[in-house]
Amino acid sequence: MRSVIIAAALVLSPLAGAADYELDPAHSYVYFAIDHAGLAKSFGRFNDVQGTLSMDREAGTGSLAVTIAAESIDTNHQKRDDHTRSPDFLNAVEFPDITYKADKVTFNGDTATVEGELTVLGTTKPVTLNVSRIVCGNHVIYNYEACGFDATATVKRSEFGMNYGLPQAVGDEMQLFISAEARKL
Amino acid sequence: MENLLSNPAVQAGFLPFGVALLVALAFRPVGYRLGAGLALLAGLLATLWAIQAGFVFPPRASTQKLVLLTLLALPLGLLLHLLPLKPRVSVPLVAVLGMVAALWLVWPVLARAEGAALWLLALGTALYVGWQAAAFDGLEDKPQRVLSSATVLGFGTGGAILFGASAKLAQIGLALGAAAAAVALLYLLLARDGAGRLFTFPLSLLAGLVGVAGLVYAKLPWYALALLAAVPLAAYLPLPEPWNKRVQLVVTGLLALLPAAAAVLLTWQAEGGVPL
Repeated sequence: MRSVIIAAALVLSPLAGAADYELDPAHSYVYFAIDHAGLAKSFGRFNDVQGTLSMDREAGTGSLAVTIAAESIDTNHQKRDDHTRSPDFLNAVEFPDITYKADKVTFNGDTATVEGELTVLGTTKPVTLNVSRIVCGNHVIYNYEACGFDATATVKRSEFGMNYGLPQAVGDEMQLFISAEARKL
Repeated sequence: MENLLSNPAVQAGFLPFGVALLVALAFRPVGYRLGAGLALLAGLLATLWAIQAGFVFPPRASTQKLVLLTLLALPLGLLLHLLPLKPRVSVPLVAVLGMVAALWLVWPVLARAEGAALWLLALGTALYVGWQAAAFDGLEDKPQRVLSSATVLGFGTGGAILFGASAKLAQIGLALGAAAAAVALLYLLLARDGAGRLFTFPLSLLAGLVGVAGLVYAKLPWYALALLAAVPLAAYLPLPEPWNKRVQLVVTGLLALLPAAAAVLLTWQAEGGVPL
């Protein structure tokens, strides 16, 4: 299983220039869904997500760097979690970090496309995030500038060398569902 | 056919057993000991192919390192088989090779460890693999009994790791057991010669490394490895000389089963069922 966290934040501030943000780990979620035995989807999430990003919406540029702790995978079943951390899947001890780095963002209103590279099991492949919702403004609780977004992506775990359970027991395509908040630095 | 080859029981059991049996039979004319080693490696390589363990050079992951070491075990084992090395040379030699291989396998974790944890990990893993390699090499004068010890070590390692959360590593261990079992069966049926260094070196090295991988990268408890370390000792236990070699092979296997079964049972108790 693979999880990629990509935080894309867009600056809607009236001020020009790039703005730097830091992901709020407590309010950033990466969920995944993958086919199990051809019967139904299995779901899970990663509980340790950290990252920074920089955006200049007026210039149409941005970059981001996200790190996910592979061992933080959580499928609400201890044995399954142990299995996904093993060399059969994420090999979390040998490859503790899953990273995503992007330096190309294409804005389209309150949506965007983020093109970057995902690294899992020491293998790096291009992955595109489809950001379906971007909201920026003053945080109503903590009174600081923040942005939030929703994004999705699809990856094939076999492209990263993760082929256990293929083709029938565990699917190849993973759908990623990301919702994140980032605080302006 | 594709469905058959994607069945884990076929991948780790029937396939390596069948391939090893065929290779051992085919190579009988060139020598039973040589054939035993080739059969073991052929059976294991068949499993590695079936589970798509992947040959990558340079290897990035531990499973890829196991594939490379399997391929290297062939020329190294052949060299050990052909050279007239006395035990006082071969035993420490294979021990050192095993220790180096172990450290290479766990290097990503060693590089991050510090202090006592670093030394414990380095010494523990190196000594385990070095011990297995040395213990099996010392059984050169018991070429029949080594077959059953080897079979039990493979099955015991694979069985314990299966409960220790890695099916892929378990399949490699089980494949070693299945391939060794094929050679042992051939001996039981034909009562020819036993196994030489082309068999004992790859078997002990790879079973040891799979055990270490299970400890470091999965959830195999350390005490399971400690129990598996006792498996080759079964072949050293004195048995009455008048006993037929076939009987000695079977009795050795039953004795070796004790610590191996304990390793599997304790891992099951500690970690629960097999991976989902």
